[in-house]
Amino acid sequence: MGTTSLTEPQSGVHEPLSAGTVLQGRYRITARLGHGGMGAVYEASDERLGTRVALKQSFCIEERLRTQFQSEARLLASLSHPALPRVTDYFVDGGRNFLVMQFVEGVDLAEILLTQPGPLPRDRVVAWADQLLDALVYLHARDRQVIHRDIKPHNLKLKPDGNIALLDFGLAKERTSLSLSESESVFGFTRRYAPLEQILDEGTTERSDIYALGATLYHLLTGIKPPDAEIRASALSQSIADPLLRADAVLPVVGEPLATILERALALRAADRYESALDFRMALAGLGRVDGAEVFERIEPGDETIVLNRSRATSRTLIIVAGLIAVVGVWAMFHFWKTPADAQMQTVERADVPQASTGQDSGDQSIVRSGKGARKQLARADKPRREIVVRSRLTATSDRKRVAANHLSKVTLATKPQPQSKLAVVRPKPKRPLEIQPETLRAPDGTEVIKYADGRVLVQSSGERRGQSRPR
Amino acid sequence: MVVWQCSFVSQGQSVVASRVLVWSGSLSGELFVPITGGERSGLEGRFVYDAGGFLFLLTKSLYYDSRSDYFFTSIGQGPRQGLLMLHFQCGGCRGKGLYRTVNGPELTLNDLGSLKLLKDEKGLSVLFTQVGDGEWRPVAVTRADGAKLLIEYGRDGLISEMRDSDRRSLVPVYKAGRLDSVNQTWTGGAGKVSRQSLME
Repeated sequence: MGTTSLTEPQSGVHEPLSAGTVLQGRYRITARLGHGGMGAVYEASDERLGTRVALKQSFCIEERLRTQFQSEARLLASLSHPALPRVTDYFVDGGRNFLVMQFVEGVDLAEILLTQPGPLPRDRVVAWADQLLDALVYLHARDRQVIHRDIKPHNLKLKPDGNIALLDFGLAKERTSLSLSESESVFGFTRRYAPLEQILDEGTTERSDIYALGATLYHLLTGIKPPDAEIRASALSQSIADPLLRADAVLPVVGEPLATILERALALRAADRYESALDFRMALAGLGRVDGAEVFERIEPGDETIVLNRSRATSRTLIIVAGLIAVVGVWAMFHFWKTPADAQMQTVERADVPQASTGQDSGDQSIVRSGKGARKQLARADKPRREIVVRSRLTATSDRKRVAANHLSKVTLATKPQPQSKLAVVRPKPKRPLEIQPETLRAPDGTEVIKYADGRVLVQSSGERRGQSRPR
Repeated sequence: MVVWQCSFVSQGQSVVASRVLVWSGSLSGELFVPITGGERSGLEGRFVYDAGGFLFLLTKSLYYDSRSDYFFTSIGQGPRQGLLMLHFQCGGCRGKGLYRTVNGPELTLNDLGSLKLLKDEKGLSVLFTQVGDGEWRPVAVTRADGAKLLIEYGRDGLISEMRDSDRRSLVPVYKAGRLDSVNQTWTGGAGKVSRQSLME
């Protein structure tokens, strides 16, 4: 691997650097992570401190842009937020501008979407949105406001601790700074996630980030990229229906409340969107209310967050619904035909956790009833290191203001501990397991589709021998 | 930058290829072969069928919007191009009937209740049904020459096996919900051949 040291301005500043190049006698490039029309991103080792860093190279060579770059670097270096990588240095070397940033371990969400096509689990996405909006509130609330301007799955990294990081500040701009409107990243924006005003180069505000985050969440939740804002605008100008379908129309498990929130975030007119990231976050915090409380999954360090089975969210919902129907059906059977003693009961004590929680293993579903019987919740079996947290809903204006003043660090305040109550986990056992015959559907060409109650779908063509079992 | 490639290891061979796999039209060899140029295409599916003018994504679902009474799905416009959301509409046939694309290639979708049948003018047909995770997914693809690909699903909605009318098969192996490798079996000149392809 050759080593090159850059000290003098050279021709070809738009050329990406190769591995082994040492900059400032300190940063040795180990890999190129990304390369676009406006810049490149490298993984490098800081040989002075012995750490991994990310180097962002800007191809801008105009003097005014170089000055702006330095101004931005100083601004970004002043930021400190758990969801944002730290900027530690900037320099000009060989006619090139470089930003030195903390290297964030993990996998970006675009990669997850590529390797696991389709929607990601709703609860996870909502939890990530909460963290990202916290970061946006922080950025937007700075005295020198920072607009990210390129939020998209590729710029969101899922860290090993399960938290999310917002990357790529190459495009982040102070308000009123010069506009760069390239069509693609690295230092441009990405059309499918960009608001109309950014595509049309009409300037960006914090509501532009709200659109981009809304578009990103839409993609994560539905598995489908939202249509280009300019195409949407064009359709609407011709009185054609907005090609952006509501998220719950694409995937019903997204749910109407969340789809409505996304619809507002994705409004074409900036004025129709949430006024601030705080408002967006407050709206999301209102999701999942159960009898005055909200249920969120908290992502704990060490949770296997990288493993996101795209089908789990939907299949889990179906299993819960199917389980509910089955339990109600069996209950009815026992109620009318058997004595209550036939049902096998277990009682668990609600411990010091003020939330409804359960720790059953391996995906069993249980109905958890409160002592009063007024609230019934489906508690999903979970691994011990996860917990389901019930949080209060902040509705009072004073609460909103207080939370805003605290930069949202307490936007999802936990409820006061509730008095202990008994939870009855009912697991009725039918004496004879029900045998449900698979449903066989026949296509016009004779293809048979066999659907089993457990969700398996087998298929055989008319040419295959009937009844012959194939090796599985 | 992640290089989207998989390594094919079998019988002492090691082949590096794109991780987007396409249903092979060749009667000999594996059921699915790597598609060139797919690694930067935005094709968000590992398994595709090259229908000529477009790529049919075997891992994409068919959706129905009851508000506006139209179906939609995504297709690939080419190995190096992006995806296109394809809309099917029909006038006044809500619930039952023949839907036609309003954009992209000319296709029809016949709503047969629990089955939906997509066809193109060249003789391609794709049969959809609702699988374990509640989504409408393709279960059979029939080419114009009559060759048929059958797709089966596990209870989690993931593809459990694909096989075609030439007795070739592919069984995906998932590790913690992610596609880890595929095992393909076909009949070669020397008899039955199996090959495991590891997805990196």
